Amino acid sequence: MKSKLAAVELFNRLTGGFEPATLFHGVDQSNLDNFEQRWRPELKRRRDEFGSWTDAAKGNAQDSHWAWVEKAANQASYEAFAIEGGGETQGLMLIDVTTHFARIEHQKGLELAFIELLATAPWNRRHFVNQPKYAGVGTLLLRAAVTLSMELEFKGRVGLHSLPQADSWYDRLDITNLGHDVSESMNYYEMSEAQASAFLKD
Amino acid sequence: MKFNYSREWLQRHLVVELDSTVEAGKKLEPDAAQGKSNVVTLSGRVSAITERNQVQMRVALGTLVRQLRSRDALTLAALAEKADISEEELRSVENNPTYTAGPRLLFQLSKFFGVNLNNLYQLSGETVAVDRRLYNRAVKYAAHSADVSPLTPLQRAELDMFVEVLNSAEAVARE
Repeated sequence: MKSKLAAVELFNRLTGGFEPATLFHGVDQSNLDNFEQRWRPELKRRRDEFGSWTDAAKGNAQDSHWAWVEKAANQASYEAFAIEGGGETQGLMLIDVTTHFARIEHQKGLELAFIELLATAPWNRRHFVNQPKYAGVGTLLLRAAVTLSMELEFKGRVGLHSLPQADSWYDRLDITNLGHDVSESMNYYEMSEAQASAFLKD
Repeated sequence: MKFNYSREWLQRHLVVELDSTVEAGKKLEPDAAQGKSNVVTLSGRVSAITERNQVQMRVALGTLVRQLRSRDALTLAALAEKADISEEELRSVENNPTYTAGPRLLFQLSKFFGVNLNNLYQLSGETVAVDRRLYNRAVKYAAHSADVSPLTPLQRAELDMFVEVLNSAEAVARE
């Protein structure tokens, strides 16, 4: 079930001003259609410009193979979030709240909100288009993940695997980098309870 | 679920997001999905390097540099200054397995830490072939050292052992 969570704002890099948008808990067919018809062709086109998956990082198109539709259709396993603005889906996130557990030593084994997928629309991405449009999508989705974790009494604990080109963002947010996860060939990041409180703080 | 935030909070975080990429999640690597072999044997101990090998070797290189830096109690900035290399390049080598370390950076690191330059080149993933024994040791080393906390005695021992392998592998290869 898709429900409106909050009125939010995205920063339009092209105009330098904030624009109204909406954060939804849950996604519906319009988001999936938007992904299939607007996101996926752009991701595939950009992906095809590079010879290998590793090289595709340069074009910020490594998630062209993400099976969004199939995953989102199985919503019993995931908490889904979407940000809509300017008549389109600007960001999507899927969170698994049942099968992942904390790895940081002092909270090891405790439940957490695991971000299975977090993505902005192709036209909002640096290195994907010359002039990305909206900023704030990642920040707001991450806040939604932490808020969900609080709501579920996970005290803000959040885990995720970062795409390599996004490592610096998670590093700068002061989320603990637990290093390379051999099983996924990506770096694993985890937000502790204290880091979550600091992230939410005004 | 309630969702609240202030404009000031968003603006503060926007400063960070504006020059960042934010994507997270599992990747589906086309080569792996199609079940292709990871290593193509050329002859003897030498194998052609694949994309997956390249990433694994770079992870080992990043881990090696991070642990050597940790062993010597150096911050990123301090190592960059002492070894006369860019801090940004150093950060990329440590954390980003898609990053290609340049020849000068590898030369400076080799000189500073006293590690065999040819083997550092192999770890950088830029060679067309790789010594399989070195590759296997590198992957094993990275798998056992995949966190960024201060070195435990065991990790220190594994680091010392891997440096020894790096400095002896060339001699072994010439046998």
